[in-house]
Amino acid sequence: MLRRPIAPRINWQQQAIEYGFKFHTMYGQTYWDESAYYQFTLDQVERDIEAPTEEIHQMCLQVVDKVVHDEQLLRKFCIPQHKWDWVKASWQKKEPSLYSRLDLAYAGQGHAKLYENNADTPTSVYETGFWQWLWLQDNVDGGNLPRSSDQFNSLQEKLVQRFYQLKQSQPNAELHLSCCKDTEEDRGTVQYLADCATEAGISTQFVYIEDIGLGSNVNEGASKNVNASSKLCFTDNNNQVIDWLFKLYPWEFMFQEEYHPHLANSDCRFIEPAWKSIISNKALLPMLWKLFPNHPNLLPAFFEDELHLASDIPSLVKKPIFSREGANISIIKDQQEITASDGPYGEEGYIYQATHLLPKFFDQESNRTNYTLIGSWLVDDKAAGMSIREDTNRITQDMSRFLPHVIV
Amino acid sequence: MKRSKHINLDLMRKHANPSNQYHKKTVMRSVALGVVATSVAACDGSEEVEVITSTFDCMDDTVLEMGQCKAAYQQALEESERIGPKYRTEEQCESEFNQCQRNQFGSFTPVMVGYLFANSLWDRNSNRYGGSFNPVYRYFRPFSPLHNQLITADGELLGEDDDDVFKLKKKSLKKKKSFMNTVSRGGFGSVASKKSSYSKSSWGG
Repeated sequence: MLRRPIAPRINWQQQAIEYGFKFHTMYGQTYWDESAYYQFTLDQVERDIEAPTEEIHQMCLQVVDKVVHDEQLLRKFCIPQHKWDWVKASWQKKEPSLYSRLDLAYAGQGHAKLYENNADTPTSVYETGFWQWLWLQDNVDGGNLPRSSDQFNSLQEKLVQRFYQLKQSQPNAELHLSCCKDTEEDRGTVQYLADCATEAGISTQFVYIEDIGLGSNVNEGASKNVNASSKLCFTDNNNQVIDWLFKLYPWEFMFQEEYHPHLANSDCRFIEPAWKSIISNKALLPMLWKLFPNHPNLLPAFFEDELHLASDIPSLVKKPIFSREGANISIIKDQQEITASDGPYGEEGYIYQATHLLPKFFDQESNRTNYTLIGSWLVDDKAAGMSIREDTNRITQDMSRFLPHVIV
Repeated sequence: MKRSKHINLDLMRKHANPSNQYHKKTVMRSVALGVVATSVAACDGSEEVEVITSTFDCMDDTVLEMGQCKAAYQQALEESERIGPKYRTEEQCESEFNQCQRNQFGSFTPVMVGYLFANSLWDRNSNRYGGSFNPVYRYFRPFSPLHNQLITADGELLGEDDDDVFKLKKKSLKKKKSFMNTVSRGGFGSVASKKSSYSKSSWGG
């Protein structure tokens, strides 16, 4: 695993306009960074990333199966009691999943270590599945990289195939895709998934999360007294009923918002399914460690009430159960807590994971040390590709730069 | 190969690149093709359609057999429940249709007089219908210009006589989307808006 400088393609910004990639630079900072790439061997990819990714996913599914049947665990995972039956039902009905991303710490040798599982709302899927693919294609065509260069990245192909499978079980269904307002990144991500669904022959619509409405089955606009037990449907801006919704919006948010009682009552199907709320949750980490202690791809991890078991671990990372994009992380060493990132999470409680720092790669051109994180993608249960994020800070956050990779 | 073998770049492209002649040509060509495709669809898009009012009617007038006719009727009933006009009270419903029934949600829907069927959309090899058995109602409001007209769930007028053969666009024979009265909006998104001062770019992760 090497970090190698390369000249950025001369026309890449023009190309970004052409393909509608609008968030390559955010708040004046580089997000898509093609001034360098990471180089892997096929062995490193297949043995150290691809195989463990599928294995970890299977382990995560075992966690879901355990948690949905155990009230005490559901409580530890902060799944609100009013959603227990619904989450369990979504698991028992085997509601299909689309995709996930495991975040791994890997330095080119030894075992990749699982940081967390973004199983509910993974982003950077466009940059991975399409944009870095195009980068490789252009650089091979332009003679800057050898013809034999490859990339661990069948993400787009697998997403299209997965959508095609999902279409077979409901040939006429229209898919609504949704994200919050005022975020170019999320809107771009959702557009990409809509493009993949379209390629699979699915008809799609878009609605913002904030614009989703509740529809009543009655004419004359009379149903003013909406209550949780009445049969209602979610609707889009055109009052069209939403039968099938991809939401780039966390389950744990939806579970506490005004419309939550209607989730179980509507006939709407969701991507990702509700059972994903269990493995996109940081409580997954101590649970995995309990079920698969000393697994080479896991770091020791503990619930707050088990910290006595961690007494021989010199340093711990404290993560909120619902944290996203590296927010509210702190590092505990010698009983001192050092805040490493701020953010809006934490009131739900924390878990603790043994500290295992990301590998460092030095960039001579900028004279900077970078910490590098690997995102390993799954489409359903198949490993589907890899993304690289880099930051001068030890904690990868939403503005960490995205770099392409090659297999040589 | 560990990467996608092929990606449809035309589908991924959101804007034509003016500096790239090859792409420009491709875009022009597909626009021209689009125009041709539309005009062909317009000439070729209508189908001869009958209104089937009973299982006997179905067996007499269509290529379907008894079992298929019964199944078609059942599907039409389900479609009527799903997309038919709905009223809060029986009186409201009967002011427009002469016979109404309570549906499973407690509102009232007119009783359908039949459903649409086009022989041309029936595939004899697979025994599958390439459309939807869309319900038909008879509008009844007295003195209305539409009085006694056959009408579909989304208000398309057919005519008076259910023995006639109607010419309808293929679109009318497709499965209809469901629409509802939206009684409120904005019940999702509040948690994100409370946390928004922290998030720089995304609610994903």
